[in-house]
This record gives sequence, structure tokens and C-alpha cells, in this order.
Amino acid sequence: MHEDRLAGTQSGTDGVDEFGNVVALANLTSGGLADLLAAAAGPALPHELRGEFAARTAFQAAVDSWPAPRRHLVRTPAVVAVGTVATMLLATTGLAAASVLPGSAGRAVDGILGSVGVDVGPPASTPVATPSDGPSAPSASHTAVEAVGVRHVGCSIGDTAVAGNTATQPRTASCVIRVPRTTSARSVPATKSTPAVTVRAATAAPASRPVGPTSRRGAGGRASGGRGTTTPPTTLPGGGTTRGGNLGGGTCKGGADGTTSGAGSGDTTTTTTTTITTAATTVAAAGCGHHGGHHGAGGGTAPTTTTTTTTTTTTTTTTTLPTEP
Amino acid sequence: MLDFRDTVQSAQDGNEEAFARLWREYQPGLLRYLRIKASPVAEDLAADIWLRVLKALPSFEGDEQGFRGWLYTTARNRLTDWYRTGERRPDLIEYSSLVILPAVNNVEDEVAERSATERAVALIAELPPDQAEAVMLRIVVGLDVARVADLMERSPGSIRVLCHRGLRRLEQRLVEIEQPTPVPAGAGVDEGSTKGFRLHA
Repeated sequence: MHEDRLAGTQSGTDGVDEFGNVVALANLTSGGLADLLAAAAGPALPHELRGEFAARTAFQAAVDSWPAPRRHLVRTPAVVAVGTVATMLLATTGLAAASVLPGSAGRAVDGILGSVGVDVGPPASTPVATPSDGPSAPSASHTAVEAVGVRHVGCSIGDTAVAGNTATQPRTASCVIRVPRTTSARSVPATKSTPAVTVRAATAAPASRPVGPTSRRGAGGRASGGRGTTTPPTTLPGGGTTRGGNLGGGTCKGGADGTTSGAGSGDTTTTTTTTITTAATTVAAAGCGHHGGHHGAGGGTAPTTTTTTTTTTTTTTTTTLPTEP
Repeated sequence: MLDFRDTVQSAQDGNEEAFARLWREYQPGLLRYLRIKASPVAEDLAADIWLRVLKALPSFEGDEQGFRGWLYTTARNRLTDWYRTGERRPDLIEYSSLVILPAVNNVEDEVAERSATERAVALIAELPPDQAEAVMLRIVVGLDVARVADLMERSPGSIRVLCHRGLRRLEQRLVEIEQPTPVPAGAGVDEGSTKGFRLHA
């Protein structure tokens, strides 16, 4: 008597009985079964939403326990743009200070930065940091960092700048650059959310490329390789092959261009805020990739160390810079 | 209509209203699912499941089907814990403790709506456990066959067969409800012998 309910088209489920035979299914679009299923899947009833207040309370408590970057991350294009601009500005400052930009780009950057009050000054030819070096007053004419009892070469994460120590294997892949408070370089307060910066190697280094730490030492060669990895760079830009200077996973070969150096012995250690650190890392790679030849002979001797900022937060970033054309 | 991606992203950014929208969207289905699996503690389990979801919400990535699948996977895991840890205890409720609360809305409409939904869920709960779960997840919750198969750790073909059998049984049950078996003449009235579906005691 209810055969009409069994007739009809199949809708959503296989009409296969326990013997594997295809059978006609109930018409799910009308009739008692359809009404039953519609009721089961119907809109919320008032008593089913009684727990909303408790759910909201639980949400508020959960949000407090979420990791900070996620909690505070505001994904708006404006914020991302501002962060990017700030990072680029600081990186450019560092690169300009390190004089690792091409001449025209460097002049352009100097001009731009000068207009906003950032004095990157001429390359420093300060002596290599020695164990006896102690803190010295940073020059006001340039943003070069001066030794502050830091002897180890290059850039290493988390390494304590202690006189007499040599660079040790960094614990992370990014560079920590300590900048003096009195330098003209701008410092950027640490933020909880620091976007990872990945700069893929390109063929040219425009003036706006991120500038790195204040190391003046030219890189030893070009940064090759692909994406930056977590290979810990132990040297500042110009890493060359010294001290395992594989920034961002590429290989900075010191020999080819700057034979005597690229050693990346620019003892630049600057500790800065999170954002700067990120920028510095970027820069480091840039320097390595672009200017191995220019300053190779310099021997990477500029121990530019400057003391600095407050935050100890470090950011691990992976950067790979464009290879030289 | 819930804009799922925007709502989830907003909730992940800490927006309480966005989370409330999600909760209101998925809580009813979750409760109905839990009612066929663990009726006495459905609301408690639902609250615990949402706590687990909240804990992992920042790391969720996916579409709406993915979210449903994740929600019900969490629910299933919670149910498994509930079964295994012996939390399941029979709740003995005395009749005298039942309280009839005053209605705040249109009594007739609310009762009628509650009746239809709760009747439907109760009928589905009468099915064999696997069939009830398959019908609920596939047809009521709206998960696709593949996700239901993953949840129930069965093959998609098996899920289809379970759904088919469950629907056939539901249909037969509806027929029985609409045409209850006549009581033999002279027999005493006994509620237990009535085959018609009763809403409440």
C-alpha cells in the first residue's frame, strides 16, 4: 500500500539491498520519510542554543591561551603593507650603512634615508675587534657599529658578545645585530608578530633591497642556492665561506671574487629588535649575494659593533637573495 | 547564510561574534548526533567537544566540509573516551523530579516544532547504532560519503549500504506509527503495548 513511496528516483543513497541487488529507493523528496529527515535536519530549536553564553565564555578563555602571533595577528592588507615597508626601510638602512649596495643604488638610498633623518655615513674602516676591545662611543657620523667587547666574527644568533670569545655556531638561522642606542640608525620596537621575510634571489639588487647589518665587509661571493633554509649563518653579510656563511642555504663563495676576504669577518654584531633582526637577516643574504667582488679584498675587517637595544627577541628568517647578474 | 571562510578566519583572529555564529550553526547538529550516541550527557559532551575545538581552532585550515569533518571527528573521539573511561553511568531520574517549566514563546508552535525534530531524532536513534550514525552523519549533518566513511572507519560502499538500510527501516517505522497495531479486544490499556511514537512520559 505504500508502494508509491518506494517508487521514485534515487536521491543521495545507493539503492543496494543486502544481496547487492539494485532496488528502488524511497522518494526522499516527499512523503513521511522526507518530512522526517527534514525535521531531523531542521533549524535550531531554542533549547539547543541554551549554552551559547557558556560557549562565548569558553571562547574568551581559549583566545587568551592561543599563541600570541595568531591572537594578535590582524590580517589586513594595510598592516601587512606597513610591516613590509618598515622592514624594507630598516633593511635598506643597514645595507646602505654597510655600503653593500651598488654605487647608484647606494647614493639613491643614502638620499632617501637622509631625507628622513637616517645617516648611513661612509664605510667605516675600523680595525678588527680584538679581545681587548671594549665598548666605545659610537660615531655620530655613521651608523657603523663599533666593537663593544665583541670579538667574534660575523653574525650569530644568541651568542653572547663576550670579549675573547670567538664566533660559535649559531643556534638559529638568522642574524642578530646589535645596534647602539646612540647611532643614527633607527630602531624599531619589537613586535610580537614579525613576519618571516623570504627574499628570493634575483638577478639585480635594486636600491630598495633590504639592507643588512652594519657590516662593511663585502661578501665573499655570490649567494647561490635556492630558498633560504635553516642553515645557520654564522657570518654577516659577506659571509663567504668563512664561518660557514651559508646564508639562507645558499653558498657564498668567498674565493671567486673577493679572494682575500669575503671572509665575512666583518665583526659586526648588533643586537636589535625583532624587526631589525629580520631585516638584518635579509640584508645579510643580500650582501653576500651581491657584493662579493666589490669588497672582497677588504678582508672583512670591519668590526662594526654597536650596542643596543632592549629586546632580545630573535626572529628566524630565511632569505635567499638574488645572484649577481 | 554563514560565510564560512570569513567567519572562521575572524574567529581565529579572536572575534567572539564570529565564533558565536559558528557555534550557533553547528551546535544543533552536534547535539542531535550526540543524542543518538549518548543521550543522557549529550549537552555535557557537546560542551567538552567545543572546548577541544577551541583549543585547536587557530590551527584549523579548510573549508566547511573540512570543519564539519573535524568537528565530528572530535565528537567521535570524545565519545570513545566517554565509553572507555566508564563515564557512562545510568541516570536514574525519579518521576517526581521532572519539572514542567513555563513556556516563554508560543506554546503550541514551540511544542510542535520540538516534537517534530525530537521525534525525528528519536526515530533515528531507534535504528541499529551503525545505521543511526550513518543516517545522521550523512543525511542530517550533511557530510559526504567519504568523510562519513573516514569517521566511521568503514568503506564508502559500506556507508551507502548502512544509509540505505537505515532509511528503509525508518520508512517502515513511519508506516507502523501511522498505522499502529490494533489492540486486541478486551486487553487492558498498557502504555508499553502502544506502538505509536510517544513524545514524553
